Amino acid sequence: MIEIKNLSKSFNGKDYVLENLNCKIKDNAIYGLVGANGAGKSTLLRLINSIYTSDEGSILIDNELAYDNEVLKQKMVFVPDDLYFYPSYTLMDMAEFYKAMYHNFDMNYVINTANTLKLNPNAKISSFSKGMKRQCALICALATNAKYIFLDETFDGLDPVVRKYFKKLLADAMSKRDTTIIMTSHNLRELEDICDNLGLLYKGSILFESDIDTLKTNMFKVQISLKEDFDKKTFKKLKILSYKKIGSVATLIIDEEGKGSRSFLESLNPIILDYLPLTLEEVFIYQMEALGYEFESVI
Amino acid sequence: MNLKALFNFNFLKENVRKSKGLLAFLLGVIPIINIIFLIVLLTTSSSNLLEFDIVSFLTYAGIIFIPLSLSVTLFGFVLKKKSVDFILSKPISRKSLFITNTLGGILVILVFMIINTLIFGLFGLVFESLTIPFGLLVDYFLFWFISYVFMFTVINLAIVLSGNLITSIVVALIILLIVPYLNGINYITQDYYSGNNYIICENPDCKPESYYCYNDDDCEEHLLNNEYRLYYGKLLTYNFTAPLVMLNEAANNNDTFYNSISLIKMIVLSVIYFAIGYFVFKNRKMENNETSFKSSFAHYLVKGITLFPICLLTYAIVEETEAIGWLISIVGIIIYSVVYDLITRREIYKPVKSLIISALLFFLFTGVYASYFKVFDNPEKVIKKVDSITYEGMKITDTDLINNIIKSLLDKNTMGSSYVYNFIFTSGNTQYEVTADINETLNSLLQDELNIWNKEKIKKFDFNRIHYMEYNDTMIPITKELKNIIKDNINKIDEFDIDSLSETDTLYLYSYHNHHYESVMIPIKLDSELFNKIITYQNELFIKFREKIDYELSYNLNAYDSDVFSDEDYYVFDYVIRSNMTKFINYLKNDNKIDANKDLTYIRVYDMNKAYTITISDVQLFKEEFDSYKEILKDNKEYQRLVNNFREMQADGVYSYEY
Repeated sequence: MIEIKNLSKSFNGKDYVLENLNCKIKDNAIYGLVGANGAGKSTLLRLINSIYTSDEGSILIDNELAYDNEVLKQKMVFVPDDLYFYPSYTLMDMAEFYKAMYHNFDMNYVINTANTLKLNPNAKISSFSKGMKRQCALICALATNAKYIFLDETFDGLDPVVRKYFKKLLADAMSKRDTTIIMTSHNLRELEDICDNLGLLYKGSILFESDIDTLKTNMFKVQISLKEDFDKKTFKKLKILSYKKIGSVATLIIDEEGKGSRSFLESLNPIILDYLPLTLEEVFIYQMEALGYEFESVI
Repeated sequence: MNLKALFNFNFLKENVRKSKGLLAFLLGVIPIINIIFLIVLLTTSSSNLLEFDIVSFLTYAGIIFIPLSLSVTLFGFVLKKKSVDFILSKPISRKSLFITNTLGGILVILVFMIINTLIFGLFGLVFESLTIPFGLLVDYFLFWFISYVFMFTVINLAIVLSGNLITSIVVALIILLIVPYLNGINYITQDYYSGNNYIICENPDCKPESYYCYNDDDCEEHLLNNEYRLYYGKLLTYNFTAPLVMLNEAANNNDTFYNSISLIKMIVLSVIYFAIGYFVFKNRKMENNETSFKSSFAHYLVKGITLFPICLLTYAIVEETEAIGWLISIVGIIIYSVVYDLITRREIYKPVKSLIISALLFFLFTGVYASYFKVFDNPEKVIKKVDSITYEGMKITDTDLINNIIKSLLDKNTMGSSYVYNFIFTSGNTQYEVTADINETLNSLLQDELNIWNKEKIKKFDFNRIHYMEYNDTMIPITKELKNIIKDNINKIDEFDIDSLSETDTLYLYSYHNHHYESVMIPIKLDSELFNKIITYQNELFIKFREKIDYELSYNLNAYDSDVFSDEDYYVFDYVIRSNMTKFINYLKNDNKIDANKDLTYIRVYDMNKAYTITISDVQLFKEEFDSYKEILKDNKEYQRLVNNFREMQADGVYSYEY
């Protein structure tokens, strides 16, 4: 488990990129970290990976202090947003480097995955496209068999087919090897179908976090129309995150939390009662609004 | 402490793999250039006594570039955000990373130095004409290994302190040059041969017979205190570290820039810089990259330090010119300030603040230079006590002789004498160079002292450790037998006037000792057996060489035997010998009755870039032989042409052999 306590980081001693950040990431999950550009996502990953030093606070991984911990680092692999490869190295050369650094590196995994993706492992990486370079980095990271994989702007530059393939590889890693994956993106839709948990980073701290299933199953968009005149107060028994009424039809966003809204709404003899699923983006929009934030300013 | 936790061999292995190009250059190209250099030496000269400075030539040329390349390869990752992410996210701690990279770099330097040392050593072993004493190889290896490690640790420190390569180079130069620069400033204020230098002489033995002050109040005032004006300059006795080690030779009046104090300095400083580098790296804010420094204070500080030497230049301009000098200087400083920011930060960093700071520093530094030079320039310097005087390596500590020398130097009567001496005065830890005329009596006295000193030096010479022996420009192979002959007969040296030995009478012996060559000149005729063996060797060497080649050489008869050989003989000598080569070689083969007591004659033989000396034992006999050669050639047209040519020239008064 990754446990971040009161983590603060400033680059100039005045403005904090991360401020008093607290967060727990449970094992064997895919944790999506979302936030606007400059929210501190990459900085957080760099702090967890001991690239940067924190000003305050601590990061514990498996109950051990993570900073500059060589033993723990064997269990961690980081793919940054801006990729780096040694000049004139091929994928095989990079794999050799990773193999030298990681005890559990799987060279066959690299060869097989490269074949599947039709990547020439003996071609110079510098001659590859941006997407192919990211594929190389992701293949090497996954081949380390690390317990914790940190991916910054994970799918940046990948085409939809390859993106889908890597999502499958990540899901396999989590399910078969009990891997914990922490991935960042400023694009919620990208994380929606792969993450178990989501954290929203805003102005240096986690504004909101939850597991996606709970979010999606507990929140509904309901369109309702009653015979009699009604207003928001009619639904005061429910936890309503958003209420909009156009003509005689109202659209409610309801946070269920196991309260059984349907039976209550049916008891009102509605003319129209439709339960519509929410996209993750909509879930976030309404959660943010409920917290008093303008979603556009957050993500 | 767990060694594995300090050193990550796998990471080192990968570093080596990724640096194949640099390694190929260091361990391949440079040694090959060294081999070429040695081959050139071998082909251009028949004998080479390699000196430290010569073998160091190429290694010294790489003193900045090679450690810089190595540091950038191993630590340059901290200067780029992408590479910082890549390296620091790998399972290696900062401690292990720093130590692995540093030791890895040192290992590369070690291999580099071993390869080069082995090349020199092997060439020395294989080629007889190349003399490289083992002690010199050890010195070469140690000195350059430590110099390179020193440079490597300095540049590593500079890289981990700064955020981009240009700033790293600036910081490295500051670390390397700031102390020598301050020392140099101190040195130039010592005003070489200023008119304000004096020496105290209270003892009547050193008081000059003739001394006057030319109505110079200052001089007369000093005279009241027994202080006499003497023209001298203070010697810069600084032991430079790399990359300025070449200055050690001049700074310490040595014949090599090898310097043990510099070596110790570099070892100590390497340890200190390594420790500081380690501490800085462990705590380094890795977000500090791609700009000079994260901290603006550090940026201004480093920029300010670089302004200090520049302000010496502007101070000189200001001193030499009027208001225009100030204007030029201020404009220059502003341009420098802007260019520095653009180079190190790719932006004009806080332009107003930056320019104000630069301008303030300019005025401050100009003021510092002005006051420093006002206070220290042309100061009155007085040598209070002379501990010793060194002349041509002979250290004089005898008080009477010291006083005698001072007296002669101060004496106005000796001015313009033909005996100009260059003395080094030592007073405490300071040395002064005095070039002055001395009188004839003192000249004779010093020459006698030098003669005694030279003979003592010869007797003390370690004949067991002779590395090189040379007679008449020919290297003589050192054998145990020759060494023993010299050792057994060296006491006979007192019978010889070693100061008046001619070139053909002198055997040069060299021994590499205490990091430089000690040389002595002994008479070749110290012992007849020694003389015989050396002459026989030389003659055989030439015979072997001549029999091996199929081209002609040039033969010149030594001019000492002008009373036996005529001018015409000298003129036709080369042609006559070449035309009778077989006979001449046969004559030489049978000419083995060398007698040290008889007059000998020498023939110098020139190849393209080599010279051989042939010694003829019996001049009269050889003259007869030579005449017989001429007789054979008397009908030869070319010979006749040469003779006629000579006679015409002689008749015209054109030809006259220069003896």
